Amino acid sequence: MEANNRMELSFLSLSENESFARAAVSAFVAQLDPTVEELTEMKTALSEAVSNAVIHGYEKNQGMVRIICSLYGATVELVVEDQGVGIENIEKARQPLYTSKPEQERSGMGFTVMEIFMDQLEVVSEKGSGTRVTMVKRLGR
Amino acid sequence: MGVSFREKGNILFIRLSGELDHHQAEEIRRRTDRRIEEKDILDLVFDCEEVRFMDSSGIGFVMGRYRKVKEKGGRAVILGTSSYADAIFEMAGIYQIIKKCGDEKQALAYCRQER
Repeated sequence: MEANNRMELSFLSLSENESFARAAVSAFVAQLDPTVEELTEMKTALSEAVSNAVIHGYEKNQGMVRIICSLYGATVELVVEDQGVGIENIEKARQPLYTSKPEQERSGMGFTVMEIFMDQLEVVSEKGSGTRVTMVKRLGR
Repeated sequence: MGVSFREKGNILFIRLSGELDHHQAEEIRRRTDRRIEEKDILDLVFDCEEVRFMDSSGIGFVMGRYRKVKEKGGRAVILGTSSYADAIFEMAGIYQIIKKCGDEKQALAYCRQER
């Protein structure tokens, strides 16, 4: 399906850029006139995916995080990609409360938040070559 | 993101405002832990009314601080959540562990119960 509109954004995996990513995507999806609740849900899910890329994707190193946001009618697709270490066991990573970094006080709720706030979530990852998270939200439901 | 503190005896009031994400949580965690240690704090009151954005980093922050005081027999209360913070706490089941109070009087009464 052809997107009605699309944007791409790449930035260095610094935690400072998490709020920038939320602001940029919010401004882009504003053209669909989402409700405050829909916008908050998308921002929160995006924040989880970007934080994951920053914390887990590159660990102590730095790399680029890429966001692709596509609009299909009233449907928003958000893709967050990194070329980091990858996730060894996706099923385990998606379980509520599971975290590979308890010492950093990560709650292990990132994927759960994405699942609850978005209509679809797909995680594709390969060890050593990176992770791609695709999330879809249909507005006005 | 901002954090401000005030104490009432051994109770620390932690007032959070703005956006609480992974980036902001690290700094707030450091400042809060220093305060807990310096002032010999036992109980915590998290005031989240001014929080304008929160992701799961907020859960980690609140639970981490609670664990710290719990070891010493302390209690924790969440006071005045904005709808943003409330949705995340609710989803994570935080209110089954940490009491949600409607006002400061209620929060103080909870913290001052007999141990």
